[in-house]
Amino acid sequence: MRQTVTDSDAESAETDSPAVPVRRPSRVTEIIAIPWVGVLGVIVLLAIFMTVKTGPIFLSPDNLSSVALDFSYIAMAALGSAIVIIGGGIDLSVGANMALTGLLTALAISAGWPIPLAVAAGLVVGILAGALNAILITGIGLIPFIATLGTMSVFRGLGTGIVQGQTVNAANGFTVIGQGYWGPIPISAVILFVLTATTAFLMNNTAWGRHIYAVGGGESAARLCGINVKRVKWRMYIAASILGAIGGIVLAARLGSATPSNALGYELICIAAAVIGGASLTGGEGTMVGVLIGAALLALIRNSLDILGWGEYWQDLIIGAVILITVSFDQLRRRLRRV
Amino acid sequence: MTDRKVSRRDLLASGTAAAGALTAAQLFGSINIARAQAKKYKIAIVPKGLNNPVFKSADFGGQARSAELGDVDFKFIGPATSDAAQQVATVDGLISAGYDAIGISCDSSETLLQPIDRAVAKGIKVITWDSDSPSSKRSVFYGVDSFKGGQLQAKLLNGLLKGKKGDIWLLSGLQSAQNLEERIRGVKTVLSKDLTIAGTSFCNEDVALGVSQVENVLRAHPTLIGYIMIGAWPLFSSPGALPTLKARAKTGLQVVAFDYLEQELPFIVDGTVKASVGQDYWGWGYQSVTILHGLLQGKKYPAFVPQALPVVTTANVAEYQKKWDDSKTAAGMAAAFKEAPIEPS
Amino acid sequence: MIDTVAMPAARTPILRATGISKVYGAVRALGGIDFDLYPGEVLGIVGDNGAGKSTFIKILSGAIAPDSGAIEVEGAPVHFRGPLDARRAGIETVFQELAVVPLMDVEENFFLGRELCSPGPLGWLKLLTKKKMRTQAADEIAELRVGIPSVRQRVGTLSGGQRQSVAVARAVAWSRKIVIMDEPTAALGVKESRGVQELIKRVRDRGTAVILISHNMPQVFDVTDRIFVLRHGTHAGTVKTLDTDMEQVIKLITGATLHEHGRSE
Repeated sequence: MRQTVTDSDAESAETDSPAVPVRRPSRVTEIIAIPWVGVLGVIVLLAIFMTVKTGPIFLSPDNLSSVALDFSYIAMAALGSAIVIIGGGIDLSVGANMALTGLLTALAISAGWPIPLAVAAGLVVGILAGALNAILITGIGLIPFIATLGTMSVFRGLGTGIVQGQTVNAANGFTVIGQGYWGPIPISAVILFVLTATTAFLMNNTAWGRHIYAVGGGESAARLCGINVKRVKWRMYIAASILGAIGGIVLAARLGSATPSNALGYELICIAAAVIGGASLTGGEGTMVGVLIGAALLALIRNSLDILGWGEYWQDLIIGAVILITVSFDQLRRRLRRV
Repeated sequence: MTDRKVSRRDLLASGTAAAGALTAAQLFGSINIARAQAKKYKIAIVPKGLNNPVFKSADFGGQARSAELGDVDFKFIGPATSDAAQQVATVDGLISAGYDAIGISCDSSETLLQPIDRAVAKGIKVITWDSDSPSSKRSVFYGVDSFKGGQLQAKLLNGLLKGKKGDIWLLSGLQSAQNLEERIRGVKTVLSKDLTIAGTSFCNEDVALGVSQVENVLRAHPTLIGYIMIGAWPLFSSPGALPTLKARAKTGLQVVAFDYLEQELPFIVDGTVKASVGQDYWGWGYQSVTILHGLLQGKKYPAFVPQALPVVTTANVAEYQKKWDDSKTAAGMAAAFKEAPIEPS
Repeated sequence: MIDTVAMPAARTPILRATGISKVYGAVRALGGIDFDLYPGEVLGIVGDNGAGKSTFIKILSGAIAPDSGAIEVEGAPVHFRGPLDARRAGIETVFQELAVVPLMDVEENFFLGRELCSPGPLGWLKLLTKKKMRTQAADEIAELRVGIPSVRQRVGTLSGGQRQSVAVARAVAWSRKIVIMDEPTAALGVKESRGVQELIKRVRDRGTAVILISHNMPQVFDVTDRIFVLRHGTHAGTVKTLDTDMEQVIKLITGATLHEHGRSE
């Protein structure tokens, strides 16, 4: 970098600033800037409401650990969805990817493969699925919505075709991934937290992650700054597919079985979790912790409705309303921050 | 054992390549064959969705009956996943392809009404199976009486909980499915006055959601004494996936389910589910082809041909497990589920 | 009488382009442009809309490949396959669209595409050295005396002038030799434009050669040493800023008095 300093320009005083502070913005701005603060607030309100309404059931360790178990596989896939959304793309194929990888892993298990090998095979399928998305998007130049809409059908159809619509049984030692506990904590939740911490670290503290934010926040700017945009997209679609594959494998382990129709529509739940957690569908914004909290909110609402026995015919409406309210609050927060 | 391993591996490899081409080729390939061999009746059986394992038996059943009859060109075709609009497109495609007879498990009774009537207007023989479209011009509905099926479930639970008073819970799949709503209606008419339905969950026919609902509900309602699963979705997992259900069933919770598909039988074996009301999946294909073939030859059938409602309990579950074990091949299944063709009236 | 002004032949141009041509379909955007830039000077490139300014500087900055022609940096031939190659050769560009990501903060934009990563065995992980980058960005921006409140502030929340300053500061900080600025004040108000003009002068004083593309004639006359005029994709002439006036430059741009003054070389 340059060392030369000149101070001959006396007339430039109007734009002078003695030093540029590295300091962070003020505390309040900082807290408002955290995208998932509002969502956490909604969760707290929900917990208070449920405790008042139904007593200790909702916050009982038993219930919370079971919620953790049931939202873990969706949240894993949602981490991937969020990475793609942050990078300015969208992955509609993640639900079908989960079904396909879960199915093939279960097939391998039922064919007697050792568990690590079967899981590895599932992950390889995930990588291939991501590579197909990446080829269609960066190679052929399809827009992500269309490309992944197509692969969604391809993955789903592949699963259905391979097993001819049948359910595959995988109820052996493999299920510990999705059903086992370490003390009160489900193993799948531990896997989820490890994945969240890892992806959050990679997104925040490496050039790889920063380039994903850059491509999502301004693709042409990123390209002009010398970032290899195609390579960044390859990485993010493969990362998303691997996370989806892990989710699919955990789901198969959770159920001890796999059918081609598993995880139907999960891509939309994943997208909702990412958006609730503060990811912007226009790209460039979002956090992994936010996704975790967004997915947790969705799972806790479902759990609350089950406990309350409310809704029956109205559950979807209630969940939809909560999504809209949370996202609207987030919009408000963004506006506040801009002032 | 080794043989099976090899075949599974082959399935993984070859299935991957072939699966995509398969569905597209299925329809057109068979049309060409049918044109080449004259004097064969073209009969199609249309399930709600190809991805639902219950319909696989219907496929094999239809194939078996077609082989017996000898003059049937049989096609099993439907949407990849359950979707009424896709099913309409399938039926319209079959009409254009010049099929002689079609049997449909209606995804939605109202949505399928028009395509069925279009087919009938063209002189095609149409029946419904499993799920009816009562206002349409179809000749016959072959299936269980869903209302009676629900009543039977309630009767079984009444028996299991004789003399007890308390709350029970229902689990269903979709709010919009007519046959499921009929079963619920049936349950409600027969359920003992001592038993109160505390709530109903709908799992969108999603296995994972069904599992989490059952577990959540049981924890939230420690006093439940009975559970009726209008469909068996949560049971398409494995016993390990439902620890709370399993534990509570050991301490007095009585569970009655529907269907006897292979995947859910372990729950009956280990006593988690005390009884399950079944349907004749094999017959959906086998008898539908029988009836359609009969109609094409001018025979007459009543507008409703009811199926039996077998009940699977711990006592007879082994028999059903053996049936499924024998059903790994089409021929094995034909032997395991063999039944007499329905006679015309 | 307007003459093409050349710097003394003894000095090696820091950037030289010869016979640069570019054709888009049936449209000839550039037809054989020769161009010299000398160390430490500010050179203005002017021309009417469609004269080929943008295409030309995009070729110089590696964003577009010419159909023919050669480029030399400090006497050595170079071949740009992308902006990265031009950058490696020491040419930084402030594009008209600025190439900043509004959602990222000043530091992130400052280091966009060339983040400082920690060395060592974990180098493959491309770990960011955030503290170091923040301090460095803050220092560079402070040195150029542009008013940026904090390097932690998102660029999208800055004013137009501040954004421009970030883009310019980034280019200057990274450039070893040459900074190209494409219409740096097009979107700015009077006061902010003036700030950028002062910034250009400071950059020159640091010894960096600057190419300025601008429609704003007073600005061009304020900061440049020479003015390079393009017309219909050809070189209409180069003039020394001190020896000319606005009227003459405009005549070169429009070609109105071509015959009267004789064709420039």
